[in-house]
Amino acid sequence: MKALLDYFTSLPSDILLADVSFIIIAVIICYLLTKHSKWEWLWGWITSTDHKKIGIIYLLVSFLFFIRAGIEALLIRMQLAFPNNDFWVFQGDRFNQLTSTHGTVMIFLVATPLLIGLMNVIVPLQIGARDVAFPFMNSLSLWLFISGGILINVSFVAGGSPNAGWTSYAPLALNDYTPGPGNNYYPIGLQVAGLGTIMGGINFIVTILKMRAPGMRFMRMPLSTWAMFITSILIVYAFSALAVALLLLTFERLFGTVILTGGEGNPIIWQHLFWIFGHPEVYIIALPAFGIFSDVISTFSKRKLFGYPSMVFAIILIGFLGFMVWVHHMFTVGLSTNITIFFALTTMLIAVPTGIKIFNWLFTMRGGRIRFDTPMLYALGFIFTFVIGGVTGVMLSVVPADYQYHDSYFVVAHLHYVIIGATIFGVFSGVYYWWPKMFGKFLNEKLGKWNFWTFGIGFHFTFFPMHIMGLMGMPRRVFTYPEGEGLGFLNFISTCGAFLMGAGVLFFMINIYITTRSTQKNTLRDPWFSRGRTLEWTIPSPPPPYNFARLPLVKSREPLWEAYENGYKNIDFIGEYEDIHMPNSTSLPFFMGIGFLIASFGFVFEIWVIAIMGMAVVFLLMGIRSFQHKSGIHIPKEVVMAEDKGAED
Amino acid sequence: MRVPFSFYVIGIILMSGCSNLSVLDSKGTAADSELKLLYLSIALMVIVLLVVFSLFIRFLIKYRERPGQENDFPTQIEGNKKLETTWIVLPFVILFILAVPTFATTYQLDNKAESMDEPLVINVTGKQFSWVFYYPEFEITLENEVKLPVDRPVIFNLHSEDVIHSFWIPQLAGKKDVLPHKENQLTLTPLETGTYDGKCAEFCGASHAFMTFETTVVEQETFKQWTNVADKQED
Amino acid sequence: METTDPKHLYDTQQAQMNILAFWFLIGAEVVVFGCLFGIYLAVKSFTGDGPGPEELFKLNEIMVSTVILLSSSFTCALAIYFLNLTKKAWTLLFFLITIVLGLGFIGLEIREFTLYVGEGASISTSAFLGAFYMLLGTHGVHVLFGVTWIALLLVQLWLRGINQETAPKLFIASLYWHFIDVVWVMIFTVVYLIGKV
Repeated sequence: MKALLDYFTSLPSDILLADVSFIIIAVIICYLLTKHSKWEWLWGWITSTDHKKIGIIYLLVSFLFFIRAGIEALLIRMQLAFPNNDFWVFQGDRFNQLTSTHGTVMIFLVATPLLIGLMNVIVPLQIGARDVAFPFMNSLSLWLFISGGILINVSFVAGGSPNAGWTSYAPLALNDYTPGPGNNYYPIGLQVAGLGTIMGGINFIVTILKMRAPGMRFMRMPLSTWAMFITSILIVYAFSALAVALLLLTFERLFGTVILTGGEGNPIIWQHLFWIFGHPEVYIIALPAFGIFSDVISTFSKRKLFGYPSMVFAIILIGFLGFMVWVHHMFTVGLSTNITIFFALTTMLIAVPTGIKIFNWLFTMRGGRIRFDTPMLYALGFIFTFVIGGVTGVMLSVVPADYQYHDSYFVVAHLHYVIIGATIFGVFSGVYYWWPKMFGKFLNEKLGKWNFWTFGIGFHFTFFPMHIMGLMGMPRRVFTYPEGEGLGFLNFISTCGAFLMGAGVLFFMINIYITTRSTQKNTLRDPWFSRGRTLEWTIPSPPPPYNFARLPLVKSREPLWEAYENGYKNIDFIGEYEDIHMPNSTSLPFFMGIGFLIASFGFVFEIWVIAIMGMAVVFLLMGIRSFQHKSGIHIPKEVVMAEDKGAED
Repeated sequence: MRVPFSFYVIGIILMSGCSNLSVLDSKGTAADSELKLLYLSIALMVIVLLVVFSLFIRFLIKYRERPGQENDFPTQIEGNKKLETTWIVLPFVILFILAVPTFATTYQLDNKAESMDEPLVINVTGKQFSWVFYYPEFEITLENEVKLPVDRPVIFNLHSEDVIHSFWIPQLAGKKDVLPHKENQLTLTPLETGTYDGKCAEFCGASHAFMTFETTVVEQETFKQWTNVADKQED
Repeated sequence: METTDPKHLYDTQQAQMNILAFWFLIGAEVVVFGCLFGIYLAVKSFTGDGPGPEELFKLNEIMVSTVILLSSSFTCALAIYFLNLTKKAWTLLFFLITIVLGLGFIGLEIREFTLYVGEGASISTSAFLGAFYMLLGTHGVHVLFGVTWIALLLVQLWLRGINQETAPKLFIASLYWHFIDVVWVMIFTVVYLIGKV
């Protein structure tokens, strides 16, 4: 007992605080679940194979990670607010842990899964499908993501966080320079989460290829679906490169290979592998957002998307070029000039399809009747922000100038303009847009506007000054800077902006709370001024578990709008009512996630018994799954009919 | 909010020439040619920004939904071949203007060492968390500071003892990574005397922020005297 | 479900989707092995104090492994041939031979690795050896997984017969097996043959 007490008093104050708040939150959640007897309800969600529920859990969990990494961002900004500052414990190594996990969590556990979650809900609805192609694998993807996420997130209270940056460059990330379990969390946690993401990607590809409603040709698919299709292809090929990179790092740290060491090996191999994954990853988290914006801008301008074929073409081209630009992260490494030049050229070329998209969005608004609801505000904020991020991107491709920008705050500014500007704005836009579809209620518009303006203005105050800091010679990932270089003022503004962004996120949380508590119900099928365009607005909000009582017949690119134009209330559904076959709910993915979690802890702490036990659980469950009869459940025709009639009234 | 903000953006860019922005205040050949491209790219990109933002603002004002138009639905169009071709072709033109000098300068910067006249060679060793400068010509070693003669070409041979670092003197030249398994070269000619900050620009561990050095550029005469004195002290 | 008409073994929507998904998984695996080959080629000459490929590899023994694995691909194809004819016993037999050959291959590989380690060529001796063990090890684990997977499917085949549920699974497993074989041909060429020459 005394030993335990001694251990706790020896902990740094921030970890102690985190431990205590972990315990308090856990107790409160257990209490609330018991009090309202909601355990069974929770289990229902955990074992669900319904793509909508899985998508919502994705959104919820990655939002929690967003809060965590956001708090880290605030701590980073607190430490950097003044020159020679000593804020709390966050100097030196602790600061490096903050930046490393902030980046890792935001990229892998926030940006990627937020979009995957949203698309999980939306894509099957947009293509007129009753579920994804592999509901079981969908659930497994979710639980692998959560397992990996938990690993990265608990690292700082269990052995130390990764502290070699989110890019985890060797040799710094090797045992010689960062011993201990901290940096083991990085390759192992991401490996588990990445495996889930690859499965998710394959799932989306097959869903979109094979499960489209009758008449939904490729060139009739909504842009969100198109974007997710190309993104999924990128996921499958980019994340497998990441898997090898992480495997290599695991071998280096756990099994003693010397491939990445400075003496016997070549540390640049890591950089190549990482960025072969890393640059497509930028498009993995940008393309779905582009898709969302295309749908949102078209809807809220009441105009057909301008130049649909060139929009599709641009997405494909961006996806293709995305695999050929990775070296632009490595211009200063000293590779041969010809290689550098080639990659500078491909990088510049990406500006062309991106430009096509920007102008097509602008000209979609032209001649429309633009409404300024929150989803549209975020879309407009995106155009403004992303164009700035885009032009700094072109500036970065100018190799000699990049020698100056590289690894300075200029790059920090650029990457946040692109990633927050596209992904986070995109997710906010999409969440406001589809919330009524997912939950049958509007998010509060007034709070939505507060949310947008505080977050957006805060964003520019945080990150615009960083361009200038970069030009003043401030390298990234420094935990302090000297007085007298004129950096103090800009950094202070940036810190203030970060808190304004934090306020924006608070408004969003309040909004969700108020909306969820309110009893106002919106049973509208097509809630946004009854002028939806795509299939998700032809079915009730929230949709029944089987989405479509009868399959829709798609005759054009915007079937619902077309139906309205021709004076109909909804599109044509074909065929008779029939018994609908739906997959069983299953607890196996959840337990497989737990198996991976156990195994991962074994690997991280190099306790092989635990690792083997965990993997045994995983393989045992896979075996069980293989033997199961996949009978599923049947929803009788009468029930479907009754529900469908009820929804019409 | 949007309109004043875009002015603010341009304002900052215009203003930036006159504060202590070390990258824009170049005192060396390499930094000079990098700066020229930096200005060229900013100029081209400001044109892009102006075009996009003026269209953006114009469309937002002109086509906003006015009260009473809630149930007003405009005619729908598919696209416009001419317009779409325009914004496919124009970026190519801009990129071409940018790409040609980019490629030329890159080759020039990367292949400078061969064409140099009587360069001063300095072997730089980076290690957690300090810099060691060794002048083979004079057998002098300095730590965390480096002295250069003005107007004489310098070759830095960069090598790391441990992790990857990056060698950066913003006012004299852009970065070059300092690798543990391979030697990199950075060449430049300082054009003005003075003291310039140097830093490590590749994240290298706990005290990465403190891995800085001071670069002093002095008159050639002063440099010669200094090497003589330093030589004697070594003996 | 219990149909055994050979023409419709793979007709269900789910079977079609599973097979398609598997092709994309193979695509991902191609990237995985591509990257591993890339790593190997990048550090091939970094032999440090350890032995290089010429001293280490014994081509004769590798030829045996190669022949074993290639014939397992052949028996696997035969098994699928009989599966499509819905001949359960023959399918079982040829898949069993495949498994045995696969196990033989793994056995030889383990023996090879033990020999190398005995000669002082362990995973941390040099970058070349690290990459070698990583590439070969990843392939070996794939073979092991394939053997276990096919074994489990054979139990299902034995219990449930050839139907629309078991046939697509076995077909997919055979795709996987052939893929592993192709990877081995690449390894044999790139690592052993070119290493020796």
